Amino acid sequence: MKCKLLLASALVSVLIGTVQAAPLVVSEPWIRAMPSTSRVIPIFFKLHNKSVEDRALVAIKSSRGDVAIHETVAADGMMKMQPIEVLTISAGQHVMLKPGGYHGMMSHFTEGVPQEGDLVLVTLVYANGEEQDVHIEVVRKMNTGMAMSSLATHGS
Amino acid sequence: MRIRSWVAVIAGLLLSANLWAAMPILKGVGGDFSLQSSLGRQVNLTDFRGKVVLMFFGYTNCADICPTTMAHMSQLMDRLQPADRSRVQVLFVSIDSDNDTATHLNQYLAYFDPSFIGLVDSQDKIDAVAAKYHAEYVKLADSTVTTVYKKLTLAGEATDQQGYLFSHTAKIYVMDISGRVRGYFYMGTPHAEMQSQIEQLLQE
Repeated sequence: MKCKLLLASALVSVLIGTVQAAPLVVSEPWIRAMPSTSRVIPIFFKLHNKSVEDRALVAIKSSRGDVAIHETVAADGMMKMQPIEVLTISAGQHVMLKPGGYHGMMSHFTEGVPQEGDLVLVTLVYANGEEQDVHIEVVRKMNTGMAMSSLATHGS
Repeated sequence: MRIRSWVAVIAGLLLSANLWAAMPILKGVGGDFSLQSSLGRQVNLTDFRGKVVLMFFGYTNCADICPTTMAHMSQLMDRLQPADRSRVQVLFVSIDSDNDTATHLNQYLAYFDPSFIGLVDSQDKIDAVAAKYHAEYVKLADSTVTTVYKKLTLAGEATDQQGYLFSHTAKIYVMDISGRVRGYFYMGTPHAEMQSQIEQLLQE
């Protein structure tokens, strides 16, 4: 099992190494399937910065609609979602975009609301100008790990 | 020996049933109301006497908090025994009467659970219900609001229908079979805790 994991990560490193020198690895991506009448849908994924430098996600683009980077904040019994300009992923660390925490908010759909099973191409834009394409599947999930759960502190 | 093991089993059952203390009756919060609904007709809180009501304030142009909460509630409903499930009513009060029509709310909520009911009405009626259920003042950066939520306009996007966000109460109001507020759940309250509390309230 461990061998397989090592092999897989080595393979991933090689593959990404050919594309960019300091890779950010995207894993566990999903878009919450929502009713076809929805005006917004959330995008979630995990970003692992395997480089020795801090990296910053500054935008998410998609031909399927506008995407803003948002953060869900709970304080004093109130909750709100607010846009954030920069999402920093420190060297060697990871950041989770997940329910109840950071997320991409897609709106103004160009081809209607992405539906369950759709693969949506999104482009992650970093502060240094690098871009990274990710295909994210729209899934219907009721059971999700939320930001307030132990997932938030899960090490890598 | 046999008696002893039965005692242990019964003690264990009592212990698990009392894992969460009974919810007290909260005074000064809540009360009856009447609002238009996703059913296409007026709904009164008194319609749900005999049921545990779980009430949440939100809006459908909400990408994370509201769908996450509705998904959490939907999963809770799936855990309940059918007899209990039919005695639990989820109400979603829209704080965005500009965008949430009864039809829109109905489609939205049915996606999570067809039994969920959405409430939407004129802003002043929703304000009145919000005030009844949460009377505290909330200080934001440069203003004081007197109701449970405040519309936050983002610079340059005032005319855009998606260009605003709400800050709203995170509470899911738990009401007993007599319509009294007994406590709150939150988006992250574990299902086991919610289920236990609901079962206790249904036995009252």
